Parts: sequence; C-alpha cells; structure tokens
Amino acid sequence: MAVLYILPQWFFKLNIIFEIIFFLCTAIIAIYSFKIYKLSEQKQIRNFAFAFSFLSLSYFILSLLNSSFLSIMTGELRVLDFYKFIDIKNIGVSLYIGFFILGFISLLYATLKLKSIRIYIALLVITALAIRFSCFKSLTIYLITSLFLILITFHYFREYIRFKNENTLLVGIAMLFLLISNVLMSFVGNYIQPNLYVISRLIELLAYALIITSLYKIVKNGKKKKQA
Amino acid sequence: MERKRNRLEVIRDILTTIRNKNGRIKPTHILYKSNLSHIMMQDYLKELIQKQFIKEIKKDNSRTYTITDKGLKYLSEYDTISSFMESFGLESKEE
Repeated sequence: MAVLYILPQWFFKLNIIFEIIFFLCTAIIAIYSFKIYKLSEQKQIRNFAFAFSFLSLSYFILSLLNSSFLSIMTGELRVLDFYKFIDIKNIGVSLYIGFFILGFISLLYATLKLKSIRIYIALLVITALAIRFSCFKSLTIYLITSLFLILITFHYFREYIRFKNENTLLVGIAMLFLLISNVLMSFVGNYIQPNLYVISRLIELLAYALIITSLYKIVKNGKKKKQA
Repeated sequence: MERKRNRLEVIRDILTTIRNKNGRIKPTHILYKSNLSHIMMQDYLKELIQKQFIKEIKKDNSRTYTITDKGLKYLSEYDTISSFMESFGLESKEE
C-alpha cells in the first residue's frame, strides 16, 4: 500500500471544507491573473495564471476524492491509498498529483522568469521520473515541491529587499508557510503523527489567506488610483 | 543615478507618448520621447503591434503609429498591472 497521507477521523469533514477553500482561493488568483494577462499581455503573468489554475484543479480533484474515495483504515484514521485507486482504474489521485506538481513547476517557472520551455519540460520529466521510481512516493512528492518552494520563497524575499513592497513580503511569508506545510506533509504519509496533517492544513490555510489579502490590497489600491 | 525602467514602464512611456500626440505619431518622435536606442524601439513597436496595443499606418513613404483601445486600456489599468507584477514577484528585468 502506498499512502499519500493520513488524517484523523475528526478532521475528515473539515478537511474537505479546507480543500474547497484552497480550491476557491487558487481559482480566484488564477482568474484575476488571467484578467491582468489580458490587459498586459505579459508572458510571466500568463504562466503565473496557469500555475494557480493547475493548483486549483489539484485541490478540486482532491476535494472530490476525499468526498468519494476515502476508506476507513482504523476507527481513528482515514487513509488515502493511491495504489488501490489505480487498481480500480481510478486516475483521480494520479491527476491530483500531476496537477499539484505541474502547479509548483509552473509557479517556479513564472516567478524565476525562466524563458526556456526545455527547462520546463526537463523539470517535469525529472520530477515525474523521481516520483515514478521512488519507494516513498508521498515523501518524494512533498520533498520535491518543498525544494521548489525554497527557491520561490527565496525569490520573494529577495524581491522584497529590492522593491520594499509590503505585498511582496506578504506573498513571501505565504510561500514560507506553504513550504512549512509541504515539509510537514512529507512526514504525514509515514504514520508518524496524523495530527501533523491538521497542523499542515492550518498553515496552508494561513498561506492562502495571506495571498488573498495581498490580492485584495492590489485590487483596492488599483481602484483608488483609478478614481484619483 | 536614475533607476533603469522595466519593460512595463517602457511600454507605458511609448503608449503615453502616442496618446499625447492625439493618438498618431511618427517613429522618430517616439524614439526621441521614449529615450530608447533605435533597435530597442523597433523591438518594442513590433511587440506592441503584435499585442494590438498600437497600429501601424503606412501612407506614401511614411509610417505613423496610432494607439488602440487595448493600448488605452493598458494605460488606464497600468497601476494595477504594475502593482500585481511587483507584488507577485513577476516584474521584468530592467531594460
């Protein structure tokens, strides 16, 4: 059995609500990014919009999976077993992992302003191979995304030092929270401490709240300047 | 020393120059006002035509440029676009 994560029974319903919130947050960011792309025609914004679209899709799929396919392992814990689903020809979990990884690779590609599509494909292939041949798939997935998030977080803090923009700092802190959440998630699949899953999800929620706050401030200031 | 402009600012300056000339301008005037090298200006103009921010009008042996509605929209939403790019760390390198 390959376990993606384990969560406590009491958190089951809340977890689905969390995933719907993450789906909505990432969808709002993606939609607004596409709107800004339409106005500016800047490729980085398009890539950024795609990154959040992929993340949004991954959360949407995960919320559906958790609603439909969670099986009870013990009285206390619920386990998402992705080999079982592949056996019954359900590709939901694979799609979730695919969009999740694609989202973070696209985010790295957009924020670091990489321009070569070959780098993007290389990152995708290396990540896919690492997950395919890993014995600890959950650990590999979350450690790889954590590695991407280290680079992204570093980028935001460097941008903050450069521009001294408060919103950039908020996004940087949000990325740091996402990084911590991913690192915690890498331990969740190993039966170490199911409550880590709850802590990880709470930190993730905080991260998206910060990104949405930053977006709200951009929209509000934009309207104010337009009126002036 | 003055900070170099980024891509968004250069595009804003070119579009503002065209708009301030009643929406029609010769390339030499853009070159003078936008403070770019000839090659860079040509690249920007090509990009702006491709993105439909401006239109090139050829008449006899002269070329003029006019701003489109999309270009005007870019100018009116410039602050939001710039703030979005800066906040999310997507600001282009300085030119």
